[in-house]
Amino acid sequence: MTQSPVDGGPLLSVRGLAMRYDATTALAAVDLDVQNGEFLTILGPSGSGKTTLLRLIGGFIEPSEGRILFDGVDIAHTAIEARPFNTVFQDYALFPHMNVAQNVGYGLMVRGRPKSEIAEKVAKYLEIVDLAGMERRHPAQLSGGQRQRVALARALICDPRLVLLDEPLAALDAGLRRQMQEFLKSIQRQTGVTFLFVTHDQDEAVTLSDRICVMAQGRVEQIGTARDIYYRPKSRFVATFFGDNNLIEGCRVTVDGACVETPLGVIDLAAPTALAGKRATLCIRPESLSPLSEGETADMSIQAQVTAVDFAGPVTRALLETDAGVRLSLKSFSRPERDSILAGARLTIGFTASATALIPAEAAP
Amino acid sequence: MNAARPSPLSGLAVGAAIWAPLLALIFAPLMSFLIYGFFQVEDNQIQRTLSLETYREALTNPAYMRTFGKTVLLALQVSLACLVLGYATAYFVWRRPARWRAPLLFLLAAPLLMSYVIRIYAMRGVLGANGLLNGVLTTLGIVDEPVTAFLFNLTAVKLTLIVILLPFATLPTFIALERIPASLLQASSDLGAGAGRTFRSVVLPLSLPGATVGAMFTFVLAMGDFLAPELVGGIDGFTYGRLVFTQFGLAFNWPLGAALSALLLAVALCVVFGARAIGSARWRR
Repeated sequence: MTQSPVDGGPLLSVRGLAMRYDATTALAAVDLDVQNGEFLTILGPSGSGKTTLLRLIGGFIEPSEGRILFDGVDIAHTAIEARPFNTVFQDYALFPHMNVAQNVGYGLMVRGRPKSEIAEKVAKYLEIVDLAGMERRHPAQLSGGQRQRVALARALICDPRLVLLDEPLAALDAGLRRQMQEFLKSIQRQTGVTFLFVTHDQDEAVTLSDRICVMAQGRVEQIGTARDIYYRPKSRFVATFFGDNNLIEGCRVTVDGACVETPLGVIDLAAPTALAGKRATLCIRPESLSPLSEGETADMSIQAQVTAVDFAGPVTRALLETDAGVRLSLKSFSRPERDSILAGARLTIGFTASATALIPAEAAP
Repeated sequence: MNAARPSPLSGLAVGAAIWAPLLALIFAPLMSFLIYGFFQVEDNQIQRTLSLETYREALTNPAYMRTFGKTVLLALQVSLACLVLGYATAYFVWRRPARWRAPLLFLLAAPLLMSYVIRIYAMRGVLGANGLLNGVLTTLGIVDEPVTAFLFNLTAVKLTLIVILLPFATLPTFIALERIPASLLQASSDLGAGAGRTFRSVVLPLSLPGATVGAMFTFVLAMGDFLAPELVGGIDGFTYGRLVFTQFGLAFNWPLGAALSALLLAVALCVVFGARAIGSARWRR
């Protein structure tokens, strides 16, 4: 369905893309490569510039600076209708005066395709999005999830090289949202079309994406797989944006970059770091800490006092304080019998060096 | 629980409070008016005996019917012109940057703040022998001397009504255009449509119902108007509105005036129901 990638290079390359309105900068010199066939999610809080980036790629607005390279050609200033991309809008933007078949077939009708071909393809794509038999309905007669699927079929029918999705699930309730997430992912796998998906929801990004591009304040913070972003944050923002994290301040990486001195002890680094000889903050996920029983060993082990315990169904959270005064939060699977994690108890906590990540220390005030 | 539930009696009271003034102020005068049509005039005296004679006269007299037909044609021409010009004007304003739209709309609606009679006199100034229109035409050398044909005839009535009623067609059209979500236009371009295709397939179908309703307004207003024909129409511009007006003002035949205007009311009601049908298109449900 999709054309083969150009020499295995990226489908789309964004270089130094910036968008400024008078005094405010919505997007500051962003670089991004979109690989052919991937599900790439742009994730960020509101005001992070994620929608601006999507709209620039889609051609709804023109950038102040920078290039958008597609097949080696800069399309930053090409008209929307000339870009081989299609968009699924946040409010779906279905034409209310047209029925489902007319909506889905619009892109083909505009291109002057014969009626028989349009009818055939409309039927095929309605089949793909599981809406066969709904041809004569009008958008007002459809549920939110159905409208969503019409919008998707309408975007896919033009054989786009890239589908842009602007928070398409934001208007759906939680249950339907989960269902549509699975649906979107299966459609993407089935068609092999590249999806560029914008969301502010971390769980959604992790569930759907091959890669995630985290944005904040008009900049790209980090691009990588969900696992990378979760366990190998490169900035304080990324480290704290996804779920809970322990940030241990006051660390220093040795000049050779082989290990890091932390209030928890010296940790040998598994991978080389760019922070050699610099002050750093150590990140470790609460669930990467585990209570050690007698005789168990780990890369690192520390003594700590349990200060609070919170049983939350599947997981038990605990707040710990080490002898050096470092506060840590720990998360472990709950067990039916009373376990060793009790308020006031002393614990030995273990973790592996590979579960830690280093980010630059906060600039001294 | 029971105390919180409104009793059927109080519901009835609320209904009565809403409907009573409505009935007293609108429906009752209308009915009394229609009833007047069942009276007759003899020796300049209104005879309050019920008969269908006046209605029969009003609906069958060929002179009245000719005037009615002429006025329907006039109103059709005026409303069609208002539809086209109003749409073009509304579209122009809609395509301006957002900060220009409100001032432009205000300019369009400003004449509505003036007295109707003053607006008609203003049009008389524009159309007269020494008026703006003739001034422009002679200056440009299109005509050698001022044309008197612009005033005191049916054309003058049409031009005056078009100018005066244009805001009534423009504003509903603008509202209809304004209600089209920007994302629909973006979706159309996104799917490969150029500006012309987007206009034909998205903008026009979504705004035409509003524009048509606006034009129907102007039809009803043009149909019943008597002041503009009276002031700029001359003998040629004798319309149904003037005919009705004459019965009340000059002939002092209120029953005939009432019977004649019943037809006007019927036309207006038809148009209103027509507009309702257009407004509730199938896809809006």
